[in-house]
Amino acid sequence: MSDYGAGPASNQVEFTLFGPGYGEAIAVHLGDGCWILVDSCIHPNNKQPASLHYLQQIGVQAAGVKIIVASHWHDDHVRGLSKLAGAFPSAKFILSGVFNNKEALTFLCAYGSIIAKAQTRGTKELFEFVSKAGEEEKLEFAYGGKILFEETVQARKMTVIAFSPTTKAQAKSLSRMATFIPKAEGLPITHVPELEPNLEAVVLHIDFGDDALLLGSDLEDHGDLGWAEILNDNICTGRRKATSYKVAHHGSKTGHAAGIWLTLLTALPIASLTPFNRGSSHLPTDKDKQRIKETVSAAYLTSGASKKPAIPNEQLKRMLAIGKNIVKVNSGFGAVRFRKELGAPAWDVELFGDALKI
Amino acid sequence: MDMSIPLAEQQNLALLRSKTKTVDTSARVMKDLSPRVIPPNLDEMGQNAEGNSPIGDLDLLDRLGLAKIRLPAVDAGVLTSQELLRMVPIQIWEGEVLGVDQDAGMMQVLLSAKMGEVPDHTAEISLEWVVEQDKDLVSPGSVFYWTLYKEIKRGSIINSQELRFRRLPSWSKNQIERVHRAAEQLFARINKKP
Repeated sequence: MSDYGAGPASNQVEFTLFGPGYGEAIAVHLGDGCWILVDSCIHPNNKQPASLHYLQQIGVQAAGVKIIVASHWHDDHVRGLSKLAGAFPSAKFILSGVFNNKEALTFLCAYGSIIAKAQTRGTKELFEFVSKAGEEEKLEFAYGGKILFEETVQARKMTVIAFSPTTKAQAKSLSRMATFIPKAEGLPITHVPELEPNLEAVVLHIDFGDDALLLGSDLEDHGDLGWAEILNDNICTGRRKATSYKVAHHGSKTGHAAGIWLTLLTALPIASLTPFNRGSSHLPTDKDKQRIKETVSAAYLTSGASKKPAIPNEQLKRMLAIGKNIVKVNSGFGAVRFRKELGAPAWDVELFGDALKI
Repeated sequence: MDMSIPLAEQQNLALLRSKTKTVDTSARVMKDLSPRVIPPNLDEMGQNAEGNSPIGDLDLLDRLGLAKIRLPAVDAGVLTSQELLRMVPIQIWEGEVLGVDQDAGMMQVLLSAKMGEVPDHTAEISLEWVVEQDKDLVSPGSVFYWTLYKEIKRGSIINSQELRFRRLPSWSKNQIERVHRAAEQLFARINKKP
């Protein structure tokens, strides 16, 4: 799948979401060839970062990418991020504010290739991303309420603002990271387990001057933290309501909060999301899909292809003797693209590869 | 009683053999997954005094960078070296434990094939298939190898498989200090005032 057609015109805004069964990347065009990228995943066919491949296909100049945001450190959001950063050297790098802290950086160094070479996941990508950005002095941190980008494009003020992480959420995330920092010799060097719930993720609000996008990253709602904090923050709730939503945390129940739909989005927005197939988690579930469908005019999933194992039958039969629920991690690959002229009321929707309407 | 095997190991084996299950069949022979002991002439890595291992296709394992994993052990005195030569891996999955549900007795795992172009898969595996001596290694982030292999024994093709956890290297004092130093440097670089 590489026929993405022509890129957007100068007066068009665009949101494109890429995703295999495990991974997520976003490219947003603000107009006049000005792009922001959020997270990264690998295109399964050409092994390139999906958004890099996309921008090359539609002929975007490297200087057009203004900022690259790593919304959080999980493996499914950072694969290929360091390569992406290398391809767009003039872009500013944005990282969750939780990492502007010695303890969080110790966590990153411990599991990011200094020692644990064979046992790293997202931490390795992020370590390389941070090291490179740190050397080039173009790293910035995102906190709730921080404006990450503001520029006049096509005579409209475009603003990208972070809604998270909040101070309390960062403290909670840091305390969990601290428990995995090696303190005593003799303990095994393992893969770092994913820390749940995800509270350090960067939620972005992109204001086009007359419309807005909300990118929910993988933020979850957990007691008075996560979405609950955003929904109680006037800086967030006072922004322009978005007509398009990248659904948080792969549509899961834990990434859902009714207030998102009531306060931050217009009635019946269009939504998009990526699946998550890993371990015993397969998101979105049928219940998640139903819940989302009830609140949107339309919702699209980047990949809905079969999860059937791609293992020779004889081997699979043998494996099923001791294992169960054996499924392919990457169930295809697809992209969902919303595009419209600035000022136009509705988005045009295009689906690529294995993407489908829910 | 075989005096060449430590008593504790023999007790372990007796216990595990009582749980023996038939898990795999070929057209001609059934094979179980009960743990087996290493022949007295081989070390823990399955190598003899000359540093050679008669088990499996070692060239292939070397190419895969798996020479250091513990290889399938065999019943002492049952198979000869020539027979062992005929054990061939069909697929080696490197597994990572994503989660452990002790109540359900299951672990969720991510599987990456070491042979051929096979995409990653996830699966759930019952903890009862983890051999006793590896049980302390089962935790999120730990690594194991799930080897499917066939062996030709006395003219019969036997399909078998084995799940063994890797004993991961441990943090040393020096490594921990290096990590903290690197973090200090990174923090200073990020927060350098212009």
